[in-house]
Amino acid sequence: MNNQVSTIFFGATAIFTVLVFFIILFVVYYKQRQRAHLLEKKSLQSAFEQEKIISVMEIQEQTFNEVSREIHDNIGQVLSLARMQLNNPNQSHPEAIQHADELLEQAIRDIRSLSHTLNTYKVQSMGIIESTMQLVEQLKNTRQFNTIIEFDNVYPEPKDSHIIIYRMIQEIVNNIIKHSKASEIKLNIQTRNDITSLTISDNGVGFKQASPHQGIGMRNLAERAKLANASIEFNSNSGNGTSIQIKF
Amino acid sequence: MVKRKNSDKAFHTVVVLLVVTFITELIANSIHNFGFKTNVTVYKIFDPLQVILFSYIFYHLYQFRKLKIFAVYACIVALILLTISTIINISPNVNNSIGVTTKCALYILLSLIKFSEMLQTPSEENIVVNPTFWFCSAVFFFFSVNIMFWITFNQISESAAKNTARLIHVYCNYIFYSIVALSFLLIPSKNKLPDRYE
Repeated sequence: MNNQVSTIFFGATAIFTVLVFFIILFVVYYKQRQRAHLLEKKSLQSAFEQEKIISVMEIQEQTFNEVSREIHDNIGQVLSLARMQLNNPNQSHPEAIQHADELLEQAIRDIRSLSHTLNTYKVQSMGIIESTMQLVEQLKNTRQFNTIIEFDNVYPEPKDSHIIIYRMIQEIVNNIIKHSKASEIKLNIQTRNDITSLTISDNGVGFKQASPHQGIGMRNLAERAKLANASIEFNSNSGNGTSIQIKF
Repeated sequence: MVKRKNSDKAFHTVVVLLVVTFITELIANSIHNFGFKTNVTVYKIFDPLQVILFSYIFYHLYQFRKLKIFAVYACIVALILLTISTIINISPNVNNSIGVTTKCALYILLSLIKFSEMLQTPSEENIVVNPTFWFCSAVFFFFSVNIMFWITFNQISESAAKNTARLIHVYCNYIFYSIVALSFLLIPSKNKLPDRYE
């Protein structure tokens, strides 16, 4: 009888020891995996930060180039013309002054518009929805485009990343003006379950999504979207207009 | 919108399981005290319920969809095996251990799978204060001892050491419920950790 009791007792002790050993082994192995996981996460985070810095610098560089182009091609031209008007010996004095005055007024308007475009404070104070709607409204004022705005009156909480999204929207709108040959621009803004969906569509010439030139622009926008924790979707076909949806 | 995390649902189900277990033990004990020949019928009713509740708990503890599906199928298979073992052994305590061994094997398997899932997706949280880890450890420990007990049940019940075996089994119950209680103590308060909501 004692022998049977001893067997049961030792058997149970052996099972207990194995089970406890298994659990300790699990904890040790888990901690090792946890350390490796943390290291991997840190390295991914630092890579992402680096990518973010590069992207921010690229955006800055692009903005500087656009400002430089705008000053050179537009404001510079207008000011040179005004100077020429004032120095033109063939023109009568009041007429030259009036012409120069008109040109200077145009230059001031362009500088103001450029300043508004670059001002991040406007996006921060007005919010991304209001700023985007104003941007599209400005297109209506040019009388070259018929604009339709649809929105559901829900505003997302302001975030730092909204500046990046607003710059993306500016680039999309610029592309519509420069390349789309559209007569109608439609802006649709909806917020569902804390996700804002912003769709800009036009009835222009559209583009082939496989086109390498368009590919670079789309990749650039997609990278910026990633940076702003947003998603972007392009939908276009040659001759059928373009629709671009940003979700953030 | 605030959505409850799956581990919350799992631990709520653990409470239900503990209540059901307590009621079952109470009824079984009363039947025994009234002098009935056996109280095994109570456990025959309790076992499928326990299988369903444990599968439901692990279903919510698992993160991967394929493992959730596995928990559902494992539950169905275990229920079928339990039913078969009940049908072929209507008379009490004759090879009763087959059905019980099946359910113990299921719980060990479910807890081992959870351990392996935890290794695949390690969190930044300290494992020693993770209630899921302690719950799985308790299940793994208790049912590993239990399965040995039930496998050798027919031999033990006829041997002189049956009281020792029963005593070990009783102490295992104490250890199991202590670890489960510990896991409940480790569940962080909702006010302290708002990130428990997704």
